[in-house]
Amino acid sequence: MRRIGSSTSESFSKSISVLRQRLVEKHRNSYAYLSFSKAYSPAPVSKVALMNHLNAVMPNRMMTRHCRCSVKSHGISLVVVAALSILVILACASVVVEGLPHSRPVSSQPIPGSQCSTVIPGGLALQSDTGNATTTIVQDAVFVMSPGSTAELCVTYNVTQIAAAQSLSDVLFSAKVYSFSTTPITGSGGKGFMYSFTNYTGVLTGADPEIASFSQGSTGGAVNVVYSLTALSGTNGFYSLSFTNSCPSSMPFVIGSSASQISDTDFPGFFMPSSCRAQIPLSTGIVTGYSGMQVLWISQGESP
Amino acid sequence: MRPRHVAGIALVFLLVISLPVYIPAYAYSSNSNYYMGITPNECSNTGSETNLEFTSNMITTGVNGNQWSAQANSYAVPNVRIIDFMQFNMAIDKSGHVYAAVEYWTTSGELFNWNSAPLATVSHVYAGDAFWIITYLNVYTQVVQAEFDYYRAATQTLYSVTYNIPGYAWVPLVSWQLNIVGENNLNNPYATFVTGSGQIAYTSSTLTGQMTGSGMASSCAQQPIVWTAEQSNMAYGSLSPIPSWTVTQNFW
Repeated sequence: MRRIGSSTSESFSKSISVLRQRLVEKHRNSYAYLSFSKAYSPAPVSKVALMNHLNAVMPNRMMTRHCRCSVKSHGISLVVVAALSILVILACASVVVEGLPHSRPVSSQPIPGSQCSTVIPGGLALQSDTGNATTTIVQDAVFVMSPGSTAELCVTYNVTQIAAAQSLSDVLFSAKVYSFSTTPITGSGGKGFMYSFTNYTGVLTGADPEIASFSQGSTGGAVNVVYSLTALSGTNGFYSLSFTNSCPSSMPFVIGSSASQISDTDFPGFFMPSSCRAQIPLSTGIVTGYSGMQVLWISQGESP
Repeated sequence: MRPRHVAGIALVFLLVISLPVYIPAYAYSSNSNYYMGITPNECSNTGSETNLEFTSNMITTGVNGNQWSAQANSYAVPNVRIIDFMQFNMAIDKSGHVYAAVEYWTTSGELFNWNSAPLATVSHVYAGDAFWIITYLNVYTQVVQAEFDYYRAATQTLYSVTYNIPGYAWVPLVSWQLNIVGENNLNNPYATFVTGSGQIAYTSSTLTGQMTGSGMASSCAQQPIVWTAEQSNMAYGSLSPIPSWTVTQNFW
């Protein structure tokens, strides 16, 4: 068990103190011209009527475990009560242990049914580093569809523990195809890209289910979602594909080109490592299957 | 009282006294630390200053013992560009480069993603080192600049870089949360720390008000229900509910 160190050296504390004071003063000076904030009204969070629909199509979407610790002891000897107590305590402990800070999310589950003909139980590597200990080579999955076809993506979300005090709302599932443009960030002493995304109407998208609800205090489980994509006839080109909690948030998406016609230069800015964000309480989505499309991998090297 | 009842009571007593200390079903950890905000008006815009002082070496099971980040994840108020999540990160990669990153998100995806050149190259972040992540505001309380500092104790050197936020992305923030997690999606998204501990100090401006930590982001945020996807085995200590200009928190 790692423990916090008992103390830091005096010289370190002094140095830190001086540096911190300098930074704090600098920080405070930056507020010298501040005006006080404007209060904003919170955006309404819809408790959607689709709940009924959801309950109908996915009654077991949450696998919530409860610990019921009441025991009827009337007519039972104390020895029996004690034995039951052991079982109850052990059962409670097992639930509590699941919620320890260092616990990891539950593993993904295979997609039920046969909507996705290609199944990847461990999840598709959407972005990975194929370099060595000092160099980085970013490899992205590229999704390729034909015009006038329909494809499915099967995605699994792990449900992380939900604290009693945590903000929570329904999660809406959707897939989006965007036209994109990227601009390199220059003059900042580093590297980066600015992105602009516009809805592309040549691909119709859907999600099943479209919404999931969660209760506070619950923990564990998984949600499986099937996204459908229909590329209209006559469409082609290079786009960005996203779905709820996709990571990376923008994935290379191609309509009407063969593998030999696709390269990393068609997707500027897509090969840069990034953080990801997700909507509470779900993890990022794990692509566990697909059908009606091809998946290619293309790489882009970076200087160490 | 019958002997078997006495035996039963004794057994229950033994069970009770041998129970482990109650462990709460939820503690602040990984990508879910307290949300810092102004008290009592959670809708007050604020700047953020976060200082991390490390009291042990920071080593993960990542390549070369590195690949983790300290993320000041910030929540924007509703705005024209629908910017909802702003990340001000300091990280160390597998080559030992300590660097800064700024990422802004909209409801459609990423707005921009910037990584600094390496501030320093080290085997790993050591006990005695420190990070600062500071946001600066303009007169409209919009975040216009971010400063990142790395203090290397062994050489008593301060490495610093600032990033000027593009004008089209100037928005105020109302909550922020410091998470010590994996470097990024590509590199060690789940950081397992073999060793790593220290103290986080959150400092509030004297002009924006005193702070407290909360279990949820401000209800005035554009999107209070998102979090960073990177995770770790890091745990965070409890915070006092009493508002303060500076709040400190242990991590381990």
